Amino acid sequence: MRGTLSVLLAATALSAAMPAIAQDTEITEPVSVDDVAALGDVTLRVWADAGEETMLEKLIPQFEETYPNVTVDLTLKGWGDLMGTVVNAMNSSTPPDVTNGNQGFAIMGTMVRADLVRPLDDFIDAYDIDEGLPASGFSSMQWNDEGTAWGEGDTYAMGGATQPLGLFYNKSKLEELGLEAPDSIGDLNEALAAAEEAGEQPIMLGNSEQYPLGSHVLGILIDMYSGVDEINGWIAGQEGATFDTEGVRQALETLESWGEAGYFGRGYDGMSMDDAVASYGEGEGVFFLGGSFNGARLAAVDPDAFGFTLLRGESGDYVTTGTFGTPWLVSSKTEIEPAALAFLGMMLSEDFAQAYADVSRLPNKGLDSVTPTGSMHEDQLAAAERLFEEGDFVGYLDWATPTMQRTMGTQAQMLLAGRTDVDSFIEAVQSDWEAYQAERAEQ
Amino acid sequence: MSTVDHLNDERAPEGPAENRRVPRAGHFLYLVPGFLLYAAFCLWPIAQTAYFSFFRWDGITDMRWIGLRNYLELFTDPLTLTIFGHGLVMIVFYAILPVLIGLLIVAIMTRVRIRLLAIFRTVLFLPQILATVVVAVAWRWIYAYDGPINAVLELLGMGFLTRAWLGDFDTALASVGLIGTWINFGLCMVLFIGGAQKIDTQLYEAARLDGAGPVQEFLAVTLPGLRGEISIALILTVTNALRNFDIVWNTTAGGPGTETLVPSYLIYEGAFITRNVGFAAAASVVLTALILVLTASITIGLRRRY
Repeated sequence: MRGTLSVLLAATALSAAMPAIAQDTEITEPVSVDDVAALGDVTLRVWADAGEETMLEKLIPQFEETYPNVTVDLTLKGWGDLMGTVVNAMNSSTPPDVTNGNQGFAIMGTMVRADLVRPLDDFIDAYDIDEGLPASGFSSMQWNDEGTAWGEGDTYAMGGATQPLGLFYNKSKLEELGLEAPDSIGDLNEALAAAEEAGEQPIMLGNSEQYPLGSHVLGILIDMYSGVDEINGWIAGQEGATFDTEGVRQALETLESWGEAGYFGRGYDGMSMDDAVASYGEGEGVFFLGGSFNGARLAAVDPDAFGFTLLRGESGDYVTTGTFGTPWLVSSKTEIEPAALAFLGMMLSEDFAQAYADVSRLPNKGLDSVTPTGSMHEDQLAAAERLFEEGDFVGYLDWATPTMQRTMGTQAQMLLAGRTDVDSFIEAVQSDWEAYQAERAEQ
Repeated sequence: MSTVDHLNDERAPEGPAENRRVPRAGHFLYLVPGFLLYAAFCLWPIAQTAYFSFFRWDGITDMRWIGLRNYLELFTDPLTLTIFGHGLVMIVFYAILPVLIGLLIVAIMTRVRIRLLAIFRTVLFLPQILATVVVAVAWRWIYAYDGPINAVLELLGMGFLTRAWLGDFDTALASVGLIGTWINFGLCMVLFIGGAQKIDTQLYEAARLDGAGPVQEFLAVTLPGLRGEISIALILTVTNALRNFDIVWNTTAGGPGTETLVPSYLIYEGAFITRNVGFAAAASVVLTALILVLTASITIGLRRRY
């Protein structure tokens, strides 16, 4: 009896001690300049997506001035290159202290599973990062300890500027057509038909990289016709979830009908997304379905010529695919943790928000306080605010499995080319999903 | 015993047999540094790849032995079979067409004296030395819906043929393939021109005296004379065709649908995107084996008969 008790006591003591060992540097308040100064002269290694370059060009000098003992060593990579190398880099003996990653099983899941990243819940509390932000935006960055399921558990990452998907519209074209900016999927369908009738190309699309048709365009449509939990549950791999839902069917049928009506024009599979954004900026096409991240390019052409809006789905709510931005993670092996946290702290602070806004981005902190670059940016800030207040984030469909990006991209192209139908589309996607769930169960 | 002594031995073959054998064994020592480098950077990775192919592994956490499952998947999944099929189609465009075009150019050259040959040769060889990303971007523009090919078709009143060539299910694979033809035919041509210049001109004179026409002359003199060069050209271009990745990646990313997916893409995707390293390794092993079999067949098939 006594033996059992002491074992129990020991177990209790051990379990109480465990988190302390795992996170013996848990913080309760923001890291101070002195905390960082105590590290001596150090170099902070940062890996980032090239899309963050302009933001970092402002952040790094400011950071090095505030923390003069730290030199930032920045490595910028294109998205594909970064995703191909970041997990191995984090696994190396000299990992970046702070890095961009991506949601989903292949990148963040692997890093959590291999204990390569530090949970950031204490940091988020200490810096009030989550204040005023919808909880639904965090779920894609929360993982169980095994790194096999997301949606709850410790939070391992945070982004700086939210990136909701939505609808861009060409203001002068809408005026010519005598249309208001759509606010719901019903409005959009009417506007597309009217644009087509008037001889305009309703939607500008460049999909030569099998993207963004199967991810952004289809994602928005699925958001319109589905319940948030239904889709998020499927993406997160909940048991018994299925892609074969009424909402998905309706979304696919709509996409198919848009294709049949010629709303995307011709040759979109031979044009890259960048070229399509450029053409749209030059005035081709009435609408563009994409992410707020496409906005910077359009704002650079003319900050007031385009508008941006979220759409209300069939439920009447604003529902859209999106995130708090490309996630930032901190290495569990970093030897200069205070510097790493201070770097993220400064990047995600309200004081730094204007730096994002200056390049037409949407800082999570300070959507209502930053000065916009023009009326389109103002629309975007307002849309993000509305989303934070009353809307819900849906995850990206391609987080569902490591191969989903290709499966969705492939199937979407085939659907519009008449090489598959809605039933086979759903079957292909669901069988990809099921194969991966079986594999996950084996892990 | 030094090398010099050995060379002396060779000049004096009547020397004692032992004298020749001892230094020969010693000579292998000279190969050791090179062999070690080759083993460390070539053989060992190959062995490792073969080893990984029997595991389920994300490249980071623990590996799980799954036997032949990766290979089974490779040979039973209709998609992977189609993808290897695309690899074989690429051989037509990357190897066979360039060799035929190269031969045609040489056949013409042996009959007609071409002025400014050096410039002509350099210009045709140029695609070979351009960075493939540059080539891909240029061709993306050429093939684009509003690109020059469609503009010419419109001019000729064949507007019904216009399309985004790389984005069309029917034309994407051939369009990507033709980029490969354009890149590789210069290499074949340069190899063949070099080879043709070595052919004894007396053979041509003899053929002409015997009344051979251009076709007979080509078949009887030029073609047999180029056997070695054709073999080299085929080995280089077939390998190139099967490991082709950069052009596909930078023009179509494997689309539309799965029309232009190639084996190297499978390997890239497994190793870097889906983190299914074992499957990528298995695909690498199969691709390597395929390349070895094909190049060996070419070498044996075109071996000079003395």
